[in-house]
Amino acid sequence: MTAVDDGLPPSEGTNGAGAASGENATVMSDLRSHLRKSKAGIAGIAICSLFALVAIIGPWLPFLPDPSKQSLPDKLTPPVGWGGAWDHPLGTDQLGRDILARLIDGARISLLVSVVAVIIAAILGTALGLVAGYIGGRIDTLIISAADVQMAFPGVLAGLILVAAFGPSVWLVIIVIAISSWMVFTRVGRGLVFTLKSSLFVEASELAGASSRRVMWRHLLPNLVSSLITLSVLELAAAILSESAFAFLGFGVQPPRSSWGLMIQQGRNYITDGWWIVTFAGLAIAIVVLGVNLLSLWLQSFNDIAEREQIILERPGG
Amino acid sequence: MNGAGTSTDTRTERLLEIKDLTVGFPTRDGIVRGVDSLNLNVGSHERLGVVGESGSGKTVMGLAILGMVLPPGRIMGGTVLWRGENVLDEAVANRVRGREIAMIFQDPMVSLNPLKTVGAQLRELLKRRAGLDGADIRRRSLELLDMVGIANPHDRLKSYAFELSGGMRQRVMIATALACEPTLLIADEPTTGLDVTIQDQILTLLHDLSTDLGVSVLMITHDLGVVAQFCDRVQVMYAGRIVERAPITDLFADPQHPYSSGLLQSVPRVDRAEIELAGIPGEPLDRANFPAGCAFEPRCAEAHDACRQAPPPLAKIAERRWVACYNRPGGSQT
Amino acid sequence: MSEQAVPLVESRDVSVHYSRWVGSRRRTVYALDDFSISVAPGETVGLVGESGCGKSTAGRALLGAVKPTKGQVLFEGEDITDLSRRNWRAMRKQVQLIFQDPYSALNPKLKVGDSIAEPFLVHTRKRGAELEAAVAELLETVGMTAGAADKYPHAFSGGQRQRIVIARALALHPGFVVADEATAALDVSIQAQIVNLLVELKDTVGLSYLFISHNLAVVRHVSDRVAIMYLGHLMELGSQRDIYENPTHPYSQALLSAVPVPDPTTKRHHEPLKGDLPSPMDPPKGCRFNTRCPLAVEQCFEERPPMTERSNGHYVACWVN
Repeated sequence: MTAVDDGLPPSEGTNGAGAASGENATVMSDLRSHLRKSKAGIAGIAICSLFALVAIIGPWLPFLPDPSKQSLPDKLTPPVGWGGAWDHPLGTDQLGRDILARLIDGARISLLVSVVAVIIAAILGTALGLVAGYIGGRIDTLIISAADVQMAFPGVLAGLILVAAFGPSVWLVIIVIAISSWMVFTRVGRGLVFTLKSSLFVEASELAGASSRRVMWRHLLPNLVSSLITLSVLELAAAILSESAFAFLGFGVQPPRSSWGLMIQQGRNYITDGWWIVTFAGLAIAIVVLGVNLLSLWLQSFNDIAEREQIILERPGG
Repeated sequence: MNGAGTSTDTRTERLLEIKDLTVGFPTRDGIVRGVDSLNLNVGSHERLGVVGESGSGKTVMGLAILGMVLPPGRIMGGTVLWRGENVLDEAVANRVRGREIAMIFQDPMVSLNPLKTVGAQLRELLKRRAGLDGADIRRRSLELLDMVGIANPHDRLKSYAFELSGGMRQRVMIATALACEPTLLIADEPTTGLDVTIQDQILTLLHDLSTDLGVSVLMITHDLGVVAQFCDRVQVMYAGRIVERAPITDLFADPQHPYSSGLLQSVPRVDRAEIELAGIPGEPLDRANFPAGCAFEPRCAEAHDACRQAPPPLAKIAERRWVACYNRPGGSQT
Repeated sequence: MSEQAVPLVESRDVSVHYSRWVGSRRRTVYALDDFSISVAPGETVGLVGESGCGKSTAGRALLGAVKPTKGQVLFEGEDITDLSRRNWRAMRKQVQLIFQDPYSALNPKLKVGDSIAEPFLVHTRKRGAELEAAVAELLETVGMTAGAADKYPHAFSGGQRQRIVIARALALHPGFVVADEATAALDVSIQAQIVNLLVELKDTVGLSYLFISHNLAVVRHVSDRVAIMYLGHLMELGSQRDIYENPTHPYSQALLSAVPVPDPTTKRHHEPLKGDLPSPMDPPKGCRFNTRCPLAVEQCFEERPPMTERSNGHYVACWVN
């Protein structure tokens, strides 16, 4: 809802039932004016936008060769500046495939996996958090215990087991990442609901005879959205890293498709002859994760400031 | 000391003198003036009330006197003189603040350190500010707690703020404020949020202390009852400006500014049944949307063209009576 | 008073106790004890007391929002302490609450119109244009323009928000409204507007109020009858005139004399009440006011004084006065 403006994909599954156009317009203009003051925010948005843009339109870029086209005579061509030529600006790998094309292809996988995984985790986690926080009692105990168990369970191990059972696939990676991060949304959502639950507007709605579902959907959820968007972006960074790790371990996308993790895994054998394979793949991961983190940090500071301003402006104390 | 009630500006020593003080807060919509060209004097042995509703700038003014304007707000102009020295100068402020001028706030919980006992806080204060040491500190601590009416001061020295009731905390707060024998006490809504019977105790205490110790009090409050019962003189603020200043009996008997009279006709009374509550029509001023003229004009029944041009200056209409309104005798000239 | 007919709402010996963890110990909070009061149709009953006196709990008990530990609440003669889910929902149309804090009483993410429309959506089949018209009418009833429906709460001042909260409370034409410190968060000039609005609505819409407040002056202004509470016990109950002109309980007397009168010519000559309020987790035995009462005798520490009728409709719970 808030991030769409920047060409970033909507990384949040919960929907802003209450965020209608009028308020959105002011939020947008506030976001923009807040952005102008934050260099880190600008950098974060720039990196994330570039990442998303490249991932989405990558295959239609005119000057790029086919990422899976092998050309053994060109294998391990160094990048431009280290003896390479402009037809392979970042060099080629051990099979003569263009590194830049493969990086861009890998961005697609990274984006797809991380965004879909976070959306699933956010929807699932938020829903459980809402129910746990609002209904409470035994249901709360059950949900929060499940979250605790999940917290203690190593995600990689879960991945290994599932791959052993079903064989490697991208969808499996998405599911593994989603089930290893839903509880973050549950915990945060539940915590927020606990405080919101005692607000007078919730009491008013209950006193009017509104059902639990109505209270959760109309009153609680819209007030969670901004915090959960920030959290989603933060989780996105973790998901990108996880995806790379799974690809590196060979659980995820299979050759000849490419992924940054996979590129590192394959490139590490040639680190002496072709340092650029691992370097560029590693750099891509580092920069994108940094960008996403900057974005989330900035969103968080915006939320804090918006909250503070609201308090100052709404409750003038003398 | 009992002359305080009837003293005039000329007979008392002038302690605090604020001239053209303006405090601004930058916002999206430009700079909002929390306090606008404010002039004010506080004499010795005086209880001056500052009354206004939320957004009137009374709290900002209280803080600005001690040079404490919270960023992003800043003092944009004017001087605050304490016995002739400018308090807005950091060096002077550090010398005066907490010693000659002390302040108490609405919520003592914010001002008291939650991790230290009452005794430890008093000790630190007395050591650093009053330069006492050893047995003197303890003696003085007990004396202060006793002075503010705290029973069992020995035990209370060992208490933490959260162990005390609201009234007790405010008493401790007053004790710390009085630790360095100030000449002026700024009390910002000291009884707001306390129960009526506890408010009564605290007001009585402040009244007695100011009389016994000869401390002037600047009482910042929204409560006309507190002003009527506590103060000698009062100034009414609206939207960062003083709209009226008068001795207490004059204001209540014959308010001059339309806002003052509107305010007085808005308060229900516990000692009278079936009075008409006139209220003041309209809404409090949107601070981002200041009119060019008198800030009260949009809510004023007597407003005319001149009121929309420029804010009326605070003008003297009688001995010790000042009003900022174009519709009052003498109010139109500077 | 002549309100001896059928009361609209009535509580009979209602007690509300609940337990709370204090550190590692479970303590019982005696929020309300043997609370009996009635509100007649068209009547405003003021309920005053200091913090922790149980006035908010009493209000919520009368609404059926808090389950009494003991005693009964009757609405139009019917016991509502043990309603079935369906009857409870029907009951919700009849009684409403107006809150102290208009800032948190409205969902910041919901348009004002949607907040006001909620009771209709829950209880009626009104939708679309019909619903919009109903919301617009309510907004006009409380002195706002219909255009307010499309804005979010942050666009409004505290007084305007309180009007919106009142509009929402009036949506389904309740007979009984509990106003819990409804003007406490407002500035004096705005408080007067809201108080006037509430008084006016009483006649135009036909409401009965339980008006809960710590502000004795406001309560005097709006109430027909007044009840004074201290630490969960009712101390005195009578007509507005009885309570303010002839306060009988020592606590009522102390409370009234503690209010600073906005008139410098009425100077106070009194000794402030000593001491602090005891904790409702550890209330004194006998009369709850005995720790601060200047007149307390031995009996006050032993036995709780019953409410006895001193003159027509004027009840006082005191052994001495």
